[in-house]
Amino acid sequence: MDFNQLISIIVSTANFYAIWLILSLSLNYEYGYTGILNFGKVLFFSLGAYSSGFLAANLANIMAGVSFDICSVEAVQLRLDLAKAVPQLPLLVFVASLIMGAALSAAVAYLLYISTSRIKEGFVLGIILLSAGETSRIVVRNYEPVVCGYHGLVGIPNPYTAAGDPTSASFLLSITIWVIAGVAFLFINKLTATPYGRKLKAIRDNELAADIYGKKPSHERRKVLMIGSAMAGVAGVLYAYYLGFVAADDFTSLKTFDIWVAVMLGGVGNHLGAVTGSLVVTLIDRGTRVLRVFLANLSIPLETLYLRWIIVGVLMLLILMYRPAGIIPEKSIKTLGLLRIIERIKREKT
Amino acid sequence: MLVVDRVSKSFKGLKALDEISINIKPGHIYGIIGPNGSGKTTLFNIITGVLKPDSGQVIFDGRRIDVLEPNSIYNLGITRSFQLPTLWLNMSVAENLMLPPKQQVGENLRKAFFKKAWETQDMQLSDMVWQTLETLRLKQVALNKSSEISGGQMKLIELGRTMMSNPKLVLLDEPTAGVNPALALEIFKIIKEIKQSMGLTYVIIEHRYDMLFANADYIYLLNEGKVVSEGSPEKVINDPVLAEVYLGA
Amino acid sequence: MIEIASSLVRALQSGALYALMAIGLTLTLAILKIPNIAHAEYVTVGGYVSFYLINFAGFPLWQTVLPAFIFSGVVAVLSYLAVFRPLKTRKVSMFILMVASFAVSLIIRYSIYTIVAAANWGFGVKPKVVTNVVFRIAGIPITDILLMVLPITVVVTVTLYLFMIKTLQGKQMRAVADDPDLAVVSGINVDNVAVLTFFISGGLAGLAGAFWVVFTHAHPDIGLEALIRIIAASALGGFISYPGTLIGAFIVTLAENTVMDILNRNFGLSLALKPLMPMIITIVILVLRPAGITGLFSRQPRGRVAR
Repeated sequence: MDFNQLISIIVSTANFYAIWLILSLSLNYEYGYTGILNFGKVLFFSLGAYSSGFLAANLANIMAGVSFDICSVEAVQLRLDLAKAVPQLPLLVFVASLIMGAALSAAVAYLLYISTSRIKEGFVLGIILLSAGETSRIVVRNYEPVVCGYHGLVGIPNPYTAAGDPTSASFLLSITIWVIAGVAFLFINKLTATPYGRKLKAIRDNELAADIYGKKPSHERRKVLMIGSAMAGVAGVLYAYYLGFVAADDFTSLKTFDIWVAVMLGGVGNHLGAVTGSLVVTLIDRGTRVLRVFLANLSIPLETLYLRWIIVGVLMLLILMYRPAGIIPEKSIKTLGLLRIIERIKREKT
Repeated sequence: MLVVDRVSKSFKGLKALDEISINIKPGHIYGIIGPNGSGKTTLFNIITGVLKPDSGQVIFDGRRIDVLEPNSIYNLGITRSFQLPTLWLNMSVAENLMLPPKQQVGENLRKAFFKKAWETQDMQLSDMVWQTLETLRLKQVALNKSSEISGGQMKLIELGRTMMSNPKLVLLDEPTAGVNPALALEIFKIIKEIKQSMGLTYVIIEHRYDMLFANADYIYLLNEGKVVSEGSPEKVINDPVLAEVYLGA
Repeated sequence: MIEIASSLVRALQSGALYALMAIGLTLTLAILKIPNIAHAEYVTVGGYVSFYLINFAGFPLWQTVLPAFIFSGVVAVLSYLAVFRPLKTRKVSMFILMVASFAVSLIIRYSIYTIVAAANWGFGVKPKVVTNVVFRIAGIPITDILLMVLPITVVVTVTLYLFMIKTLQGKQMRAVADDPDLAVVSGINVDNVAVLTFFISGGLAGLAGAFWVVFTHAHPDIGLEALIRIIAASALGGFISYPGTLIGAFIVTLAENTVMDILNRNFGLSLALKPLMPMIITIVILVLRPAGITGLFSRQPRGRVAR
């Protein structure tokens, strides 16, 4: 393995990690802080990806004034040619995709939330989200107008085509992904290290008591689910642009499970936990793919891609049974007021 | 101040409350007694909006509240404690006390980003929490997780949360259940002190009749979802109905 | 007209199977308060038992029904003993149980993947079952499989219903559903009830799977693909009602097949949108009648009940 190959493996792992991180942070915000059982994470992730593919394909058609079938070879060629001819266009489409992905995810989250809001049992929302995720995957796989059904939509141009050569363009995209992940981390941290975060945890720990003490559980949950889903939508856009193509079968509930493992493994209600957990999950995911090639070269007939899910499933059960707090257990939200109480207690003890 | 007007509530055909009416006037301590299943806690659940009545209405300060959500009723000034402690178990004792105060700027999604907007208020809250911890003698466990403290201490936090919420009317559901007698006395002393200093109104469900009768101004005796006797403690204690209800005579 | 009528017959057939699959989900939820997503995998297990017996041991389809029932039932009981019971003794929340069931479903599904790959059975292979048209009613073909599926479904559901109403075990199950704490106090062995519930639930799913594999193909994902319909049927029963779930299953299949066929024929709606139907129905029902289409077993108010 030469140096360049190693670099490209590291960069791609970092890209996947950054995307997983955004998803884990959003799930931690929803489940870890607010107790929303979001089993449809992949739905909102996929909506971001579909938005990207759909916009890139249809805007290219509109710009060129043609009405190619978005899945046809001509349409793919057109997208790539157009990106070369008007190098600023892909960046604009990318930004538009980010906005559409976030907005669409938040809107769908809103609709699904209010449709179950009359039911107090939280697991119903979880089941509905799971079901919605699977439904959307099966529909999009068979319904070509969204992203070309079973075959997927190829030829999403790199947003930085203007940079000239492909290497720097993809490097710029990687940097964009990392920056967005970093911003997501700061955003979530700043948002939750506050009395607001404390309120969410109260809703999670005991909804009745939160309601009795004037917090609005349903109202807050709805907002949290919308913000978390918008984040997942953004992650989906980044994913689609990084891979350059979108296919519905990429978005099975397995992805949702991966994110859940990341959050439960890292530690619920704790963003450093999400950072750690998603790193472990990314390494498992990338690692098994590398191992698969390696085993195939040695002609060992072991399908690591299947084995991986058994291992991850068992890992999840072990966490739930023996270390429910995760690697990094939850800590109090140290707002200034709480810090002052801690200080006073220290002073009294000495 | 609070009027419960002919409220009924049944579960699975069983009448928990049967056209019950009570009238709470400001500045007093009211006691509610009655055997298990007489509808005391259901009454609290109806007043605080946890349950909706089948018929009848609840009026607080001239406003009908039985149609409101619990959080709106809280914001009008009614707070309550639970018989079985209903704490935020994954959070520390201090955090449990920091949560009840109303109108916390930092709890607003948009304003939470601006530390300056809520820091001062959070500091003031911490002073209030400190006082409450002192009053309830909970300082030594202030930073413990609220799931890791004794049952008696949990009951104290229940009381502490009502103290933190700056209410007009406080409903206490067996504030001294599972608490040793010395502490129970102390709790009633605290309740009286707060009542005097802040001019609050209390409605207390209690099984320790000696303490309740010594401290309450007015007693409601409930049986099978109805008020069977009411009046001053002296009156209720001498009412033959009381013995009837308890001895099943 | 004949097309619509035969589409109705097909809907009846798949409706019966979805009903068998969904009953188990409702039972585990109503009785044990476990939202068991892994339930869909018991369908796959039953499907593979049937597939194996037909293709490699030469069994006729009807003889695979009982083995599929027992095998899936045992897998379900094992998942209870290995995962849900230890978690329940730790008094975890319903949420954690659901997360765990997600893990269980992956473990079962990918174990099947591994076995199928190792044994070289191939993915998406059809079981060697010949479907014969026995007779036609007004031109609508009635197959021998339909004549097997319908009576078995009716017998099984009625038996189970009587079992729940009449027998001691059934009464115990309903007592646990009503109030587990009270059931313990009154001397019911909740653990036995749980094992029995899982056996019946898994068994019914496996039984349905044995037929289902004939209509589709042998693939580790068949349970997952049925999951959205199972959930929809159970949701129509408010997740607690036995008859509600049964009726729900038929409504879902009718909407997905017959209604979509009509929409497709008359309005040109793409058939690819078929799977949207269960979701739409579920949401409409949840909005209009959160307690499900029947209130038969749902005497408990569906609201916050404080102690």
